[in-house]
This record gives sequence, structure tokens and C-alpha cells, in this order.
Amino acid sequence: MVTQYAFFFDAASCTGCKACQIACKDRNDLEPGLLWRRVYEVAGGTWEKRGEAWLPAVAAYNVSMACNHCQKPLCAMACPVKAIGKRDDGLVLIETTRCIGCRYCEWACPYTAIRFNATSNTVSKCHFCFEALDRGEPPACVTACPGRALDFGDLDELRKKYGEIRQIFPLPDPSQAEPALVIRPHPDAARAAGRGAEVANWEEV
Amino acid sequence: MGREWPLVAFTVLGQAAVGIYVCAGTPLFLGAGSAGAEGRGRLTFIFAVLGLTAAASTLSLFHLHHPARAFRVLTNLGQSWLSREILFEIGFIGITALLGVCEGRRVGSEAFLKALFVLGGLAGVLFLFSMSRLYMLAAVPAWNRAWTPLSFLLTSLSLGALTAASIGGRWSGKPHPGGPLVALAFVFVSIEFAASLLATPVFGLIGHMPSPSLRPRAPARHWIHRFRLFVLAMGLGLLLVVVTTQQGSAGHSLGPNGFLAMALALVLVGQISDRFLFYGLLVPPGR
Repeated sequence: MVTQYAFFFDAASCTGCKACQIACKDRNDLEPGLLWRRVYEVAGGTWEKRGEAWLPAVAAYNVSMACNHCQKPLCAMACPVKAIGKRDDGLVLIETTRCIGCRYCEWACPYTAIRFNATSNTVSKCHFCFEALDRGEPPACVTACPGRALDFGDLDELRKKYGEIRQIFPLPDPSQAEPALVIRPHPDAARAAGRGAEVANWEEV
Repeated sequence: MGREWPLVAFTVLGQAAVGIYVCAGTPLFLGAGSAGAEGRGRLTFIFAVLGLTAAASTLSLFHLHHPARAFRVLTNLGQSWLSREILFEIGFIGITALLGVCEGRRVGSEAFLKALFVLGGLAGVLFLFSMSRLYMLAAVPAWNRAWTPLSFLLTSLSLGALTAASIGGRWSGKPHPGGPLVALAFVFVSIEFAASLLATPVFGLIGHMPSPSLRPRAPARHWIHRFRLFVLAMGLGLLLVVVTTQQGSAGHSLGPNGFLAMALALVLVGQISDRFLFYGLLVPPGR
């Protein structure tokens, strides 16, 4: 039995095509401007002189990020009306009929996974396509990825399969919320902060 | 930044109410000869505090998108600082109202009124504390600093001492503002000016290193910070005039009360602009 569902993201395989983002929007019929899964384009660097040669020293990769259904869900802890709860399988879900729309959870989430839905006037976020999951089907984003950069499963199983890494630049310190996330870093990720990398598509995400 | 105006109003008014309760209420209920204080003065003070908290609570509802569901807001007291903040706010309002009823109907002894006043002050301090903790989120490094409780406390004390100095005298039946309260207001506003200059997140002289984040950086609104420092400095200047002239003839057509009222208005404008700056530090992602 799954005790904590988790996502796996392979930054080295992600091409930034955003099929995951669009599949999520399509499956959940999200209005324009509302994204439950976002693809951050990380870019930075300059030219470096090595000997007599000038070489590009850049960092460029993508990070696909949704709700990480954290083991310590700060959003649920912040919610004054207990509108956010954690299921036995680890999924963090919002009961929108309880939500008062104070948006405090939106501030508390380090992954900015909580997004305001102007249609329902409540907060919203990735629910791991739980209805599909309960039918034994995978989440839409995982299915849509052409490069197989996304996977899902039990957190312990994913850790055995892919390792223990759960943070790359620009993700925040994972000790804050203990995200159910496993990452295979892009080779540039370790150099990103040192090369002044930044998210290049803030307007989009 | 502008969309958070209900929270700007709630925090500034709520903090001012606690500050006024402590600074103006202490001489009325606990000061030397307070037992003989005019009942009407005490009631006016209680109505002023209740009016401010009622305004703060009403305005805060405008930031909720489903205020009709807010009756459940105390259900997560074990984990949510927002629930706790509202609990202490209700406690503060409730005790102040009870104090008003007891004072108005002359129920209970003077010792009981004093105990009730202290209890109300404790609820007010816990209200301020929980309000600060609410914003100290690991996910928002610009708020998760000692600056947040410090600035909230200074807002409370500056506005409280200034209000007590400018109009609190009327509540206690004294014709002129009390010297110690004016001096206290001068000290609080001075500390606030220095702290703002040095430690305002992002804009202060003491910088901080941004940590990796999935939130866009806040736009540099230096003009608000400079405007805030300017109005605080103007307020301080007026307070200095009062401090140095109030013992003798004021020598100004406005008199000490007029200068204090102007200083209060300037410091209030400073607090409001600081609060807009504070909420502007958090840029919501997406649209």
C-alpha cells in the first residue's frame, strides 16, 4: 500500500516543452493564467577566459514543478479552517467548499504550488489527478511527458529507484516542508547559483 | 501590493488599538490616583479602543473571498497562527468590552477593574505576538526576520504613545498632554526611524542575501521607503518641538496639542506606507 505518493523529475531529460503543464491544464480544465504545474526556465552565465580562449560558462535547464504533497504540508498547517488535508496515501488535497479564500496557504507554500482560482474564489492546486489515480491511471503530466522526465509512485520506491536528491536551484530548502519529491539534477544545476542563474520566465509561471 | 489594503488597515488599526490600550489605559487604570479617574474618561478610552478594533475586524473581512465561511476560523488553533491571531483578537475585544460594561455599570471593585485591564493588555500583547508569528513564514524569507515583530511592536507603541499624548489627556481630564507620554512617543518614533533606516528588509542599509526561491523578486519601491523615512522624520521634528517647548508657553499658534496631532497624522501615514511596502515584498506568482 502506498503511504506517500511522490513525483520524480529528471531535469537532465526535460526539454522544457511544457507538455506536462498543458496536459494538466487540459485534464483539469484550468482557466487561462492558472497553472498547477509550471515549467521554470533557469538560465544564467557569461563568457569565461581560459588561456587565450573565451568559452561560454552558462547554466541552462528547466524545472517542472507542481504540488509536492509534502510530508510536512505547511499549507495545511497554515489554513485556519482546516480546508487542506492529507490523505492516507500522502496526497494533500483542498476541500474548496471549506476554503474562505484568505490565501494564507498561498504565502506559506515554499513551492508556490497553491494558486488562486478566480472562478471559484478559492485556492487550488495539483491534486495528483487523484480520481485517475484511484482508477489505477497515472497523473496527466506524467503521461504527457515525451521525454519521460516525470514519473510518480511511492516515495520510498522512487528513492530506491532514482536516489535521494530533492533540491536543485532555484528550489527552496527542502527541510521546510519535506517535499515528496525525487530529482535527477541537470549537470548545470550545481553551478547555477554561482553563475548568477535566474528564472527566465517569471511572467509565465 | 495594493490588493492587500484590507490587511494594511487591519494590522495598523489593530496594532494602534493595542498600543493605545497600553499607553493611554495604564495611567487611567493603574496610574497614581487612577482610582479617582473620571468614569467618562475611562469609557471614552474603552470606546476608542473598541472602535478601532471593530474597524480593523470589519476591514479585514474584505480580504476574504468567502467571508460567510469564516465562522470556522478557529478550528486550527493547534497549528495555524491565523487561527490563534483571531482567538487573541476576540479575547482582546471581549475583555475590553467587559471592562467597558463593568466601568459603565459600576460593577466590580477597583481591584477587579485593574485585574481585568491587565488581562486585556495580556490578550492584546498575545494578539500582536500571533500577528507577527503569522507572517514569519520560512517560505517568505523577507518576512521571516526579527524585523517583522519589531516593526509591528514599534507601530503599536508609536501610535499608542502619540495618541495617548495628544488626546489621552482629555480622557484623564488633564488640559495638556502629559510630558512623560510625549517623551515616550519621541523615543518610540526615534527607534522606529533608526530601525527602519537600518533594517527594513531589502531597502534598509543592512542588506540581506536572497535565498533560492520560486517567487519572483519584489520590485524595488525605494520611493515608498524614502517617503516613509521622510514623514517619520517630520513627525519626529514636531515631537521635538513639543518636547522642548511644552513646559513653558508653547510660543506657537498651534500649541502642543496641535503639533502632537500633526505628528500623529505624519507617523500614521508613515506606518501605512511601511505596511504597503511590507506586503509588497511578497510577489504572488502567476497572474
